[in-house]
Amino acid sequence: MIFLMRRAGKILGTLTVLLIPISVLLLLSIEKAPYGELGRARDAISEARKVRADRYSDALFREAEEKYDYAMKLWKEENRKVIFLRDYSRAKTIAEESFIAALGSREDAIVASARERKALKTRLDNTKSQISYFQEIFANLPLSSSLQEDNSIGRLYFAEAELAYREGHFALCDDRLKESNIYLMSSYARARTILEEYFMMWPSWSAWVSETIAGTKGNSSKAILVDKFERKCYIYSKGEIADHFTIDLGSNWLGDKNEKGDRATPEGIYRVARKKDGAETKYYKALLLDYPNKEDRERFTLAKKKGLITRNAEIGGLIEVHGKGGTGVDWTDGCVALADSDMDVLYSLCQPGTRVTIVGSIKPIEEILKKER
Amino acid sequence: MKKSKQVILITGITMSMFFAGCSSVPQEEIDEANAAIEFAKTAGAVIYSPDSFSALQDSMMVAMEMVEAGKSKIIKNFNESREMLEKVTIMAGEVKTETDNRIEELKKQVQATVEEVNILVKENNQLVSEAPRGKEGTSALTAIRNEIAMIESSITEVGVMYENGNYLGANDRAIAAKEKAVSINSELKEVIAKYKKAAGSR
Repeated sequence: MIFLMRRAGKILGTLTVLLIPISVLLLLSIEKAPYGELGRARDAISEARKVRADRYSDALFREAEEKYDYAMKLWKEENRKVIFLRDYSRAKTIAEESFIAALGSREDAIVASARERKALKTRLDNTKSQISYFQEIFANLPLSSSLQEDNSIGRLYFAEAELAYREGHFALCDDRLKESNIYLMSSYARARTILEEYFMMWPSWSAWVSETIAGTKGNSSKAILVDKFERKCYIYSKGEIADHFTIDLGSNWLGDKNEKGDRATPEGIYRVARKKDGAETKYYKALLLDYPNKEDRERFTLAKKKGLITRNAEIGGLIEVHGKGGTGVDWTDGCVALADSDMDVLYSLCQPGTRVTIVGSIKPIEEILKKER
Repeated sequence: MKKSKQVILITGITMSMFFAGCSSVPQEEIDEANAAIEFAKTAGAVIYSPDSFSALQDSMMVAMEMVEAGKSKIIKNFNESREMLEKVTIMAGEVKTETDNRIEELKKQVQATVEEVNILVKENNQLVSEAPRGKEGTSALTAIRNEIAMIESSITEVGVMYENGNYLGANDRAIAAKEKAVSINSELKEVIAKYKKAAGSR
């Protein structure tokens, strides 16, 4: 028995002596897990996400994430094997590829986001200019409610776009800008059409202006030229502008006067019929014009015949150039209103018979719209 | 005999080193952490606490790497990963709380802004009604009335967004409406001052 035990001990001893170096060799042969490689990839993905690579470098960022997941899957699969048979090299390679993709997506995202920010800023600036331009050119036009509504919606969306930009919500900014532009462009196109239709009369206006200015050359007579679009009233003397003033008009100033009560300021060549001051006028001082003239009466009759105005419509009258203006708002019933101090100057220069030419615009539409941005 | 026992012991340890898995994967902790993350996500963490939620996701990835690292060892050890998973679960709870707080904060902000806009709209409407009638400017105020109407409709949309749980969108829209209402208010006061100046001098 003792002999047998000794024999077993010897065998075990020999086995142990053999197993220890084998174990050491096997331990040395065990490959290190891809912990570091996956950690590096994960950190790189996290950094890329911080600069919104998921938005700006979607494909590369997705590749980095997928490769990281795949490397993890390979690691798990290898971990299911017997320890000596594990091979992490593939997992390490894929993790390294994920790391490179994440780095690339981060770099791309930084460039793309800066580019987007810049592009959005440019679009915001352009839209802002467009809004200012609309205000400058069309704000004085008596536009329809629906047109003004579109413009208001566009401006509201623009305000939201600006806010989103300030808060770094670029995707939202982009959406709001697009919506804003749809409404603004629609209101702009419609307002421009209205203006273009109004300016179809420009050849006549131009002829009246030339005739009026020419009438003051080579004599001592003065003439008043009213530019409705610019809200200006010019005094011409010897073919030159002697003075100019800002005016207020009727609220429905866009277009010629058609009938009594339409709050439109008539267009044509008129003369001062009578000068009024003191108790004769409630508007400080006034120059009563000879509206309606022959052309106005003909146009009125024709409009009635064509059914453009009702049968009971009246042509109206009492169109004046008077004081109490200079408010910056179109408030008259069709008259031209100047600030009292300006009216003093104008009143002193005009006599009954002085020519008063009222036109939609002295400048052609091209010149007005050339400020277009 | 003594020597034989020692040899047997060493052999046993060596063998166990090779083949024994002395610790089990912390599956319970993994499930808990995942459930907590999902809970935070459902609460809206992705939208209302995006940075914290990203950090949470990163931490979970670290924890899962630790689990695999634990499996890769000759003597499996998941103590480190278990601790990390517990941290992730706690962190997820914190992110959920942060999200809830942010939502509450936004809700209050939206309500306060809407309240301010409503006051401004009321004031603006009052200013419009105070404006001189007739030829002195009803027409000139039409544009402003339209803008006030737009602000009111914008505030209605804010209400819909709020009800649908889109608090960020509602907040943005409410702030934009407020900015617009403030600018209209100034514009309106300016226009009315002009009317009053004109009316006063007539």
